[in-house]
Amino acid sequence: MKQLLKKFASMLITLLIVSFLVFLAFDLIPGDAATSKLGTQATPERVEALREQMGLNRPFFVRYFDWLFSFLRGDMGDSYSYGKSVSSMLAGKLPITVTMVLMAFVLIVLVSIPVGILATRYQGKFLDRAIQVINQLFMAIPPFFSGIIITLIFGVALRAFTPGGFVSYTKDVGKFINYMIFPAIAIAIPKVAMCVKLLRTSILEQWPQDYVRTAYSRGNRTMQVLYRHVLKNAMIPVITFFGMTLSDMVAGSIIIEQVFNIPGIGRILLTSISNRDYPVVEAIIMLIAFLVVFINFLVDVLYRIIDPRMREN
Amino acid sequence: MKKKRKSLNFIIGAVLVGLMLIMVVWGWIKTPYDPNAMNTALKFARPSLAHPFGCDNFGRDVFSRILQGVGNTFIVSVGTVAIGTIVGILLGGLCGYYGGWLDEIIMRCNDVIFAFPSIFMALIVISLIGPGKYQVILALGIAFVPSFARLVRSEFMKQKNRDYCLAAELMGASSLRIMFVHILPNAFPVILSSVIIGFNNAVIAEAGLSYLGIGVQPPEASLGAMLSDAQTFLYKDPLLCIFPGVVMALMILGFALLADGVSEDK
Repeated sequence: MKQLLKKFASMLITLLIVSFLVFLAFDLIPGDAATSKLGTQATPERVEALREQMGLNRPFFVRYFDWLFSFLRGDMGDSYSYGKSVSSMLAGKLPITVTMVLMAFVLIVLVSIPVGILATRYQGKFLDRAIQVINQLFMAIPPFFSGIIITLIFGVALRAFTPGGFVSYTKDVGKFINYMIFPAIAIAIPKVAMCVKLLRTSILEQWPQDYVRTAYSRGNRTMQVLYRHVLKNAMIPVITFFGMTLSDMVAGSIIIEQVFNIPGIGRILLTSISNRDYPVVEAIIMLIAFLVVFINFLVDVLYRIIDPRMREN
Repeated sequence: MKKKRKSLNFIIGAVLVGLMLIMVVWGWIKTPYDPNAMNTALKFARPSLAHPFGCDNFGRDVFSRILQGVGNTFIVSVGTVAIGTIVGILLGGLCGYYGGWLDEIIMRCNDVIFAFPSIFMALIVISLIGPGKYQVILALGIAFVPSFARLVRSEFMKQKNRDYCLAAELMGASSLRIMFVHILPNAFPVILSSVIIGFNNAVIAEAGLSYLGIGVQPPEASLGAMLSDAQTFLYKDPLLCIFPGVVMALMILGFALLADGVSEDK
């Protein structure tokens, strides 16, 4: 419990550092809200007056804490280019991205664990070798290319979905899920391959160990040894991998959203980067950072639940 | 063992990377056509002897553009890996060799950056300094530093207590000399395989950023941007997507197999 509190505190500190660095970075680049609001034609006096009015000439730390606390209250400032509040632009977008990542994650878990076990059961035989070759190939396909291939096969040839015809979950949940399966597969493919490879090595490393021999000597059959003993130990590196994969997919979803024309947070981030719409970029970076740090925290907690050795020290 | 047969992975990887290098040099010397020359008569031309990969929506020769794109990917990857390796070796070396509060501070910051996916770090840097080829090199280079620094640090920590380091110290070698003349060559095998993996990641990341339109800027060709352009014409000419995508996948496969082969060799 003490350990968990410590982890939780370190998560909060990480978030604080990240928020500070992000704010500092966007403070250092030339141009602020006042200049972007008035355009390039404005006189220096008017810019100065607006700065005063918007509170931009207050000391750095006052502005930072002001920004941080309003962010925590859900007020993320206003977009430069649309004049709308950032929170209204992002409202309803996060569930789209999160659904996609979670669907991909479920796919990874459901496919890679059985395939990884299967590969070790037939170690060195044809099936194992075939799985390894396919793995190596799938790992080399970047998600946006596999996304395009999936669009070609399922969208253009088989017509399982309409490419570009995204349906929001607010309109029709069934159609939304149906559309999101394909981007989820695209994200999952290289990750499944990596996970199978990792699980395979991890399981094979466990077999020669003493506890396996002990388990056999107590009369367990291979299946029992595998599921009760080996798999538990072999899953530890895989769980680390799952955590990294989740945060990786949150970031990678930005690209996949572009491939499948999905109006999630990735789309807004990209247009905001090219419009130099800094409040929006800042807010999205903070949101993604929060997700990533939170996922890392969850993985830490999960570790402690699965591996009692971690709880002791 | 004196004679060790190279593994099959290593051979295939080396061949693929070799092919990539040939394409890079070929693209630098002379592409068959001007990669930006448009020709309305050749719009969506099918692959033929004159244009082995066909022509795109502006009638530009796809093969020439792929050569240029592979060249750009190569430049970005080399730049990225160079930044990541050099800064990573300096930071990781200092931390691993000296330890103490310097190590504590740098590795703390390192861990914070390391927690975030490299493509996300690159996006943050790009949103600060703007899109473009050289910006991408800087952005990805920064994003790759933490993993190298971490690796070099642990390797330096392992090596610094070995006898050869103590001997060098007794002979009066300075710390810097021990770090970079004595330890670094010994850490080389470990660094080498992660440099190759670095190339692998750099190719994926560069292609992703170019696909998003924030990498290499048009009209210059890049594999990612070619894919994104070709996607518009997916119904009309799916081959436009296939060629740059397959070339990209083969490059990634090449580096991955090479890295596997190198680490198996040890």
